[in-house]
Amino acid sequence: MKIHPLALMLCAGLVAACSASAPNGVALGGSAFDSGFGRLTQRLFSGGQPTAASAPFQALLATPAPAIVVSVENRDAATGFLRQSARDNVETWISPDNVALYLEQGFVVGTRGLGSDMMTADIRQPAALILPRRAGQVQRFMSFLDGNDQVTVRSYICDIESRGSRQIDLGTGLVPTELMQESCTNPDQEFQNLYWVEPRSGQIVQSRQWAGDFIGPLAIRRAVR
Amino acid sequence: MGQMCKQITNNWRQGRLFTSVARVLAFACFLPIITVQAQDAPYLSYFGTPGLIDMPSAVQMRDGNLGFTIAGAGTTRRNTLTFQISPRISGSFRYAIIKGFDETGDRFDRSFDLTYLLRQESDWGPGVAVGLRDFAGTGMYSSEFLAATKSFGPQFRATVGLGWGRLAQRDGFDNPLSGLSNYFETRPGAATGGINTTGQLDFGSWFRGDVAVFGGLEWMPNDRTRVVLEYSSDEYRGEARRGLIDQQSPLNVGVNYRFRNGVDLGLYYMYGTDVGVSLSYVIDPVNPPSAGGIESAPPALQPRDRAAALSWNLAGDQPQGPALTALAAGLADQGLVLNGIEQSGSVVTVYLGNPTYAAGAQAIGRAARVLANTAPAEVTAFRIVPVAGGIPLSQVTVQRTDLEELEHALDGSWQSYSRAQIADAAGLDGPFGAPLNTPAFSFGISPYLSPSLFDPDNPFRADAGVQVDASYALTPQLVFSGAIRQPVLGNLDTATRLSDSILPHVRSDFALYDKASDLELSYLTADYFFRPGPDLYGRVTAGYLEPMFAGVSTELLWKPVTGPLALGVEVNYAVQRGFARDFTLQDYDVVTGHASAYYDLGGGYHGQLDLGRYLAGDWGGTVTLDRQFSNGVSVGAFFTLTDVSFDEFGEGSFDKGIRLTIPINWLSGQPSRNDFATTIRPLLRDGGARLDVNNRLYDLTSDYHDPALQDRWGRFWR
Repeated sequence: MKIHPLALMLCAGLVAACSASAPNGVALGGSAFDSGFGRLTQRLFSGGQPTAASAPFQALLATPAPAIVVSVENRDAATGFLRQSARDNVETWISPDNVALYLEQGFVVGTRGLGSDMMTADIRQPAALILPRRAGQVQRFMSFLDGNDQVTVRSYICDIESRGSRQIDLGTGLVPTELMQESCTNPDQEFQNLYWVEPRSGQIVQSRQWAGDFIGPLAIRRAVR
Repeated sequence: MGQMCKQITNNWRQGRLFTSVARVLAFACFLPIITVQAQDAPYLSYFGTPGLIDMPSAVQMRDGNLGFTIAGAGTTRRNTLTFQISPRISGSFRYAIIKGFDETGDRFDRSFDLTYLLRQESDWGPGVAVGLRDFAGTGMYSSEFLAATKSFGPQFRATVGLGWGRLAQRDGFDNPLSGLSNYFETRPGAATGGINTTGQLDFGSWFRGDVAVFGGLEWMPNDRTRVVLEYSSDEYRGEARRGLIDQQSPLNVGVNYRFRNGVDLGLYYMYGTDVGVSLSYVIDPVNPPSAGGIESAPPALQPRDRAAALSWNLAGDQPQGPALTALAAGLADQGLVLNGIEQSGSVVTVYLGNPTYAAGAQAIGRAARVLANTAPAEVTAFRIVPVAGGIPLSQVTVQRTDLEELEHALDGSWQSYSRAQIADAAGLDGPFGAPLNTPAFSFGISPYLSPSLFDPDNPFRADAGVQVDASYALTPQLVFSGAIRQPVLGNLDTATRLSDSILPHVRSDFALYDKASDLELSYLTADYFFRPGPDLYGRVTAGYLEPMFAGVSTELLWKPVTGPLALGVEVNYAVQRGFARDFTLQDYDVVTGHASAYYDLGGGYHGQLDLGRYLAGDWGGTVTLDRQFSNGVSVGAFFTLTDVSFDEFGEGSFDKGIRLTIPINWLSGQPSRNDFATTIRPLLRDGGARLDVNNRLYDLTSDYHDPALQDRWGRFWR
C-alpha cells in the first residue's frame, strides 16, 4: 500500500492527527477493490461464505446463479462474480464487494467500481468474427469515464485471427476450444484480447480482455459452483 | 517588522448541509491511496516554479497542474505553491524564511509570481516566457525576466534569459528598453515605501534598470533524473551584506530524482558554498488516484417485466405500502433519501435527498435506476427533484424508455443528458412530510485539524481535536444545527503576537480567541430556507453564525437552472463573540452585506464580484477568479479593496489570498460530499473581512444546476 504524496504533504508535521483511525468506517486498506475484491473466493465456491459479501451477492449465493472467476492482472487480485440479471443481451455480474461487470456474449462491455471504468462498449463487429471463429479486420468502440468525470469514446481497428486449438481445464475435465486473438490499435493505445471459444456451443468459456489503460487486462473464466 | 503575520485556514465544505466544518483537513490525512502523479511534469526549481535552480526557464507545467515545493539552502527556506492557471499562464505563491536577515530576527517573506508563455517551443525555435517574480510582496525577490528554452532531443535542454531587478545583480548592463524611453534606465528602489507598502503592485519598477544575462543546461539521462547547471545572475546582495551567504561562484549545480510515487527530490550545490535540498510534487487535478471513483456499482436496470408488480398505491395523502417501502430501501442502499413522492398520470415525481454523491448527476442516475426497478408498469417518466434544506433545487425528468435504451449504448452518457429535461423546480413543494427513511435528528463525531500559518514566531501552528455536530429538522425547511470542538493537542494557544490593527479587531484577534477558548462552540444556528419564486432561493440564518460572530444572516439568490449568470444579495447583522467562543458577546456590532454576481466564464473559469460593506464597517468590493475542474477540484485567487486606506490596513495593504478545494472523493475514490478546502492569506487583518456563514445558497444549489450537471453527467451511469 502506498500513501498518496499529497496526503503526506497535508499530513506533514501532523503525525498525531494522521495516526488516528478513520471516521465513518471508511476502509483504510486502499481501494474498496483491494479490501473486498482481494479475498480470493475459492472459499466461495467450496461452500464457505465470504463474511463481508454484500447483501445482493449473499442473496445470489442462495440461488443457482452462474459464476465466473475474474482476475485483474495489474493488481494481483481475483474474485468470483455471480450473474445477477440480464437485459437486452447484456448480463450484469457482481462481486462480493459490489464491483459489477457487464458481459455481452462473453465480451466485456462495461465495468463499475474498478476506477476509470469502461462505461460502454460496442463489440458487435468483433463478436461477429470471434464467435464463429473467423479471421478478419473489424472496428471496436469503447467509452471510459475519466478523472474529470468526462466520458470519452475511443475507436480501435482490430485484427482477428485464430491461434489454433487448445484444451483447457475449467474444473470439469478438459474442454476443447479454439483460441482466438484480437489485436487492436488506435493512435495512442494498443492491446490484445484472447478468447477461448468452445466450438460445440460457440461460446466464450475463458478470456483475457483489456478494460482500459487504468484497469488493464481482465482474465475471466467460467467457474463451477 | 514585528507585525502580525498569520493567516487562518478556513475549512469549510461546500454543498453539504449542517455537517462539521473542518473535519476535512484531518480526514485527508487518513486516506492512504494509490499514488498518482502528473504525467510529464517538469522538474520544479529551487524557487518552486518550472526552471533551473535559482533561475527561471520558459518551461511550463501542463495546463491545470498544481506544484508544491519545499526547499532550503543555507539560511533560506522557500515553500512554494505553483498553479498552471491556463496553458500559457502560471502563478505562484511563496513563503520564504531567511534566518537572521533582520536585526530583530528572521525575515518572513510572502511573494507572488506570474509567468506568461509568449511562444511555445517548436522544432525550429525556443519557447519564450516572460515573468514577474514577487510582484506584490515585500520586494525581497522583486525581479522580472525574459527566458528562452530550447530542447535538443529528449535528453538536453538549454536556457538563456535576461533578468531585471534582483536577476540583474551580476554584471548588469544598460537596459535595452531604455532605447524606447528614459523611463527604463533606472529602477526605483524596491518597496521604497517600507513595509506598509508591501502588498501593492510594484508597477513602477517593472522591467526598469540594468539587465543581466543568466542561463543554464539541463541533462535528462532518463525519465527520472535531471542534472542541471546554471549561471546565476542573482548575487544575493542583501544576504551577503548581512553575512548570511558568501557567494563564491555564479555557477550552481543540481540533481533531481523523481521517485516512483512522483515525489521529486533535488540536491544542489549552490553559490560555491552551500548545499541545498528540495522536495516537490505536482498533481494533475484531472488525474485523481481513482478516476471516476471506486465506489459500489450502481443497480443494473432490470427487465421491465421484473420490476415491481406491486402498485405504489400513491392515491390519498399518505403513500404507503410494500412497494413504496422497497423504493425507499432501494434508494437508501444507494445512499439516497426519499423525501417525498407523488404520481400524476404516468409521471412519478420523487423528492431526493443526496447526502452521498458529490456529482448531482450520479445521484440522479442511481435514483432513476432504482425507480425503474420498482415502478409499476404504467409509469413512463421519472421526475427527480433534488432537495436540500427542504427546498427543491431543480427537476430532472427522465423517460423510462430512454433509460432502457441508453444504459449500455455506446454514447449513452451524452444521449441521456440531451434527452433529460432539466428545469427549475419552483412551485414543486411536494409532500415534504417526514423523510421516509431519515430521522429528523442526526449527529456526528469527527476529528478536526485547525492549522494557523505564517506567524513569525512559529510559521506553523495547529490544533487537533474532536468535533461533535448535530442537527435537528423541526420542519424540512427549518433546521437547527450546531457544532462544538474540543482541542486535544496543539499549540494554537501559544501565539503571543497581538493585533496592532487600528481598525475594529474583527479578525485580527484570533490569537486571543485561541488562548481564551478550550471547549468551543463553533456555531449554533437555526436555518430557514425558502423559494420565493421562479429561479429564486432564500435563506435566513440566526444564532452563533461562526467562531467569531453571532447574529442574523439573510440571503436572496437569483440563479436560473441554466445560464452563466447568478445574482445574490446578503444582509447580515453581526455581533462579535466573546474570546472564549462560548455564549458571550462583545460590544462590537455591525450591519454587513454584499450584492454578488457569479459568472461562469466558460472553460471552467468562474468569476465572482461582491460589492458591499465588510465586518469592520468598510465599504468596497471583492474580485474572485476560480478555475473549477468538473471533478470538483478548484483553485482560485481573490482580492478585496475597500475604503480602508493601505496605511490603515497595515502590512499587506489589502486583503487577498488564494483558495484551494480538493474533494475528499478525489483523494479517496469513495463517494463523499465533503471537501478539503483551504484559504491561504499572506496576512489576516481586519479590512475587507467577510462573515463566514454556513450554507450559502450558491453552494447549496450549483451542484444540481448546469453547468455542474452537464459537466459531471459522465457519472449518470456510474
